[in-house]
Amino acid sequence: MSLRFRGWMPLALLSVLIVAIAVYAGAREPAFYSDYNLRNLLLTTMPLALVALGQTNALLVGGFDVSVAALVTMCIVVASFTMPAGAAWWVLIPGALALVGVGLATGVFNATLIRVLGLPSIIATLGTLSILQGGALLLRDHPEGPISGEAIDVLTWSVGFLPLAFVGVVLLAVAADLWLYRSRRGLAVRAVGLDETSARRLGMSTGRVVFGAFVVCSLMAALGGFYAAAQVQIGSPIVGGYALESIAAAVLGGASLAGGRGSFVGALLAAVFLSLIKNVLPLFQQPTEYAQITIGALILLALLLYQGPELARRFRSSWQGVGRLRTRGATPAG
Amino acid sequence: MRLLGRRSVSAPGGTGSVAALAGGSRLAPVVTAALVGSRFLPIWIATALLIAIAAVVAPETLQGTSWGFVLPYMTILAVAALGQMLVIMHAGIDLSIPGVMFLGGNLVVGVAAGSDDQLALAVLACLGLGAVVGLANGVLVGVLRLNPLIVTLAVGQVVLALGLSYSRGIANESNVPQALSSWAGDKPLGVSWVFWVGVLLTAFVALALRYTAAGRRFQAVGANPRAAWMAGIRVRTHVVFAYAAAGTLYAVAAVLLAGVRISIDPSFGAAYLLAPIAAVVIAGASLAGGLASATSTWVAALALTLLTQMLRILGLSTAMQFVVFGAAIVAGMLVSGDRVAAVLGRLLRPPEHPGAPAEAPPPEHHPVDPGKL
Repeated sequence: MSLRFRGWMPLALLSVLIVAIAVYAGAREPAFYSDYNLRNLLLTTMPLALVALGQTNALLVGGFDVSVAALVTMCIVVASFTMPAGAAWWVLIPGALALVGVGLATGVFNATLIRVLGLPSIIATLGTLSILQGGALLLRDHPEGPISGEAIDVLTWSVGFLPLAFVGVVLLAVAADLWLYRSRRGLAVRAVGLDETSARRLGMSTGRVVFGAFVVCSLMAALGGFYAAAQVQIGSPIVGGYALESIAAAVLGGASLAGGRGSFVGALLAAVFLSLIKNVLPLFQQPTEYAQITIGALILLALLLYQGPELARRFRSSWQGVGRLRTRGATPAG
Repeated sequence: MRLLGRRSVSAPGGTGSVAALAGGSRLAPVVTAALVGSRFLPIWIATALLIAIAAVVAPETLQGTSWGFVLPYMTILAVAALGQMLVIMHAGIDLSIPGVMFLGGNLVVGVAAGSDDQLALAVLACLGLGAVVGLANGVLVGVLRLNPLIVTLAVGQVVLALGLSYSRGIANESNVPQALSSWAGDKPLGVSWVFWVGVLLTAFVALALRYTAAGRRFQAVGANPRAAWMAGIRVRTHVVFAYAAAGTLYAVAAVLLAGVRISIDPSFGAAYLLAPIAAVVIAGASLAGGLASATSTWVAALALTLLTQMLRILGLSTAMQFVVFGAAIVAGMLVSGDRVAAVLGRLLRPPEHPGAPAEAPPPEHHPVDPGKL
């Protein structure tokens, strides 16, 4: 029962909040509904959405990945070398593959540390974060090197206000949720996250599942790197900050940090929600701190709501305990 | 309570499973004793090695002027890490450190308003803030049983944002009171006051955990909350206390950092998000909860700061410092805790009992398990 509640609750809550904020913002400030602003909002959501989808993978198997922040930065810096402005398409395609390669290498490195050498995921990815940050600074110690405008145009190609890539991400999230809840591999991933020992005793190759989850997480972060690069448009070593934000998005979307539960669509909705708050506040001339305070408070509120049934059950059972004590005390007297 | 000594309370699946691995060997008692004791040893050896390397490669690292920089900063890291350690002992994690330190540092400046008379009040305000934020974390994690990582992240973000808006209001006051900065610069016995505060705090936490009944209860809750609950210990109170004490320690770190830095910039405290976690874990604590050593954590903070200083003196670029630091965290982690001991235990295990005990999964794969609280 509570599991089902945890399944639909985040999606419902986030959808209601997104619609409410959008309606309110549109009523207060008509500029919110301009094609320009909506397209901008969806494009700024892209990196966070992709990283959060990847992070959901890591959370599902009971780990998490803080190195995604530096990986996104690394991808931007690498893109400024392999996809420079003015390059022809036969340069750009291998250049784009190089970014994917960086993601793959990082993922394999993380997964090896975590799975083969048995390090806790937070420490292993913390080490990777530092190494990647250093690597990005080695390649570019200050923002320089414009990124190919043609590549950016292709990445952000839109119909009206709707970027095609965003449609792609929505489809990806829906497909990933179907995979997670309707396929054998998806079941394996959830089983490993919920109870690894039992999953292994039932004959699942738990090592491979966890390894794969971290590799996919880094690959998605590298894809997010493309869209971060499209935003920055220059090889800057000081972008990032997607690590904790992506974990927050995945958790708001219903993922459990203990593993085994999560929703890709939820993570996507949460990413849209977080960017929406950041997008809306400047429209009302509010300082950016309010966005941070609102996001922090909403995360706590959402957690309380998601855990509602469990909390209610716990309070009910302790209340019953009090009741039993009372009746026991009353029996000898009566 | 005497039973709750260092030997009997072990991290779940950690040293216990190592002992089980070595169980079949004739060497079992010796090996087990050595392995259980060795959990906190590697960081001391690693630090000694680091000092030896520094003496050869970059002797300047170990000279007076360098220590004048290393000791205050290692103390600030160590104090923050002590707080983090209390939380990690209960299988928690605290990401609110930068928020507490930033708002705390600004409070020191803002409340004192440049005058030395208000300094005591300002320091109290800072410590009070740390305790309140820690208490909020503790109630959310310990009583409502929400996930510590996400709770402290959200609370930290809110506090950081409050700090930003507060710092805008006190933009005219940028420096801490003269009395605090000169106190931090003052050097009794050749080393700054800041250092002695860190040493005292570390010794206090270490002795309290080891030799007082309350400290033993605190450890027992961390090692096995269920068993502690059955033994009649108030588990929730201890978890709430851990976060509140941790918050206060971060505030102490903020006061010390404010004294050392003299002024508060927008990145004040930002470096203390992940470094304290690294220090605690390298010092041999398990993120799954259980035992931790305050003195080892202090040594780990020294090692991390010394490493940074050595790399700087060697003339490595900021970029390479990041790379080496990251590699050091991974390498430190690989040799820390009972990992080396586990390998030894596996080698010593007689071949006629294959498999069975090794089935116990390493606890580290669930770094934050709310069910364990």
